[in-house]
Amino acid sequence: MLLTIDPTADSPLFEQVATGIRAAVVAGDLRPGERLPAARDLAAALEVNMHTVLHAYRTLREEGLIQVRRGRGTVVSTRSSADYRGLRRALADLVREGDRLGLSRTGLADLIRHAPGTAP
Amino acid sequence: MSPHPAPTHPHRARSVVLGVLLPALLVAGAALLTTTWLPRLPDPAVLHWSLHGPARTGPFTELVTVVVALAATTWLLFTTLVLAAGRTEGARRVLVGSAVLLGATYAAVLLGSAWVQLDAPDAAAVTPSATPLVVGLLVAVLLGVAAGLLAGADPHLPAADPVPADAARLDLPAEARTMWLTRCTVRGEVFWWAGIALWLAAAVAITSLSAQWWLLAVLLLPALPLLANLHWTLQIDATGLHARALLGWPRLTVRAEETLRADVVTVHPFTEFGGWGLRSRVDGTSGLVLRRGEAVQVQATGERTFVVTTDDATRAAALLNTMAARSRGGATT
Repeated sequence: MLLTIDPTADSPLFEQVATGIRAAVVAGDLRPGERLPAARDLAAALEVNMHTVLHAYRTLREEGLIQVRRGRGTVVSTRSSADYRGLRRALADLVREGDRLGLSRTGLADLIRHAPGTAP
Repeated sequence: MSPHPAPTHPHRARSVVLGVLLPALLVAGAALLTTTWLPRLPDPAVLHWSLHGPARTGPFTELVTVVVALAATTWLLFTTLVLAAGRTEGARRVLVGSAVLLGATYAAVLLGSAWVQLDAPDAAAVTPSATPLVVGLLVAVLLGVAAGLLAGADPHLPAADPVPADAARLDLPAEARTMWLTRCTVRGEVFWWAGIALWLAAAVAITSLSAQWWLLAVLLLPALPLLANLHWTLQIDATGLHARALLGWPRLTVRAEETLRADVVTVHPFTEFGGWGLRSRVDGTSGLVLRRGEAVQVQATGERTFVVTTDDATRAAALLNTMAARSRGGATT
């Protein structure tokens, strides 16, 4: 997994860390059951505060993307990886359509952010 | 291949004192001491033990001759290795430590065999006891570990030249902080576990047959490095490349500022490194070789080369080049 954060970017650092891990899980770089680095180690490598990483882990845990297991630390949730295969395909379609229409990635992201939710 | 300039061997003097002189002194000292004990030893003395007592008797000098001959052969081999290899910290510690461990073991065998027979009227009156030998082996292990610890860390050798322009880089925002992390497992893991299980079973069988519990510890020792080499975490960040085994040890580190360049290569573990795991070659190449296939090859200062097999090697090599370039002051990204 490749994690990049940019301290000069607008979005908060914890969100950038969470986004990077989320992308790695969806892309299959991080497999279900795989252990995430200890918050302290990740913080040291990215030169951020440990609480920033813990905040990111908390966010991902609330999403159900990762879980804390006793004795094993933080691991990627073992929900069926097929879940992400659909998302991966949809994401590729979305980006292709966006590029075809000349939308910027930020514009595309905003569309997703404001898209009406599917009624349950 | 480009011609090599004079290879650099850090802590050369220390390697010679610990890895060459110390083992020779230990064996020579033990041989001399047992020779002075000859008048106090039975003649014939017990030369070989079975599980039930003395198996073979003869003049004790015969045992001294055999052990010294074996020790000399081992010493020649390790002296060659200590002098020729040991360019990187890991190889140096293992070689120097092993040389001392083996020398001390031969000394322990001599001293232990003589000690239990001191002042016995004849071979039949000798009471077999493994205690002196066990104590001797423990001391040998401690001496080996101590020598390995004293063999010296690699000196800090920052590169003077910028990273070559043709070395692939990763396109990152100037202020970005990046880390790459992956976990690797040795190819055919199940066979390694089967091998370890077989070894365990054999060790338990031998131990219970001989009823010598301490044998188990000796027999299990070689399984540890095998076990430690199965799972690795690889990380590249601003400080360089770090490989860490599952148990936290052994480790392999290549600092960003000591990195000359990183490239993607294809590795054949057996033909190039003679096996799998953390390997070291006499030419100063260290390999973390877990499978055949793509690998990151890092050239570092001090004539060192590191080869690490991994998925995603293209991105890993490019990131390491980027981090190496940044460590030079950021002017050459």
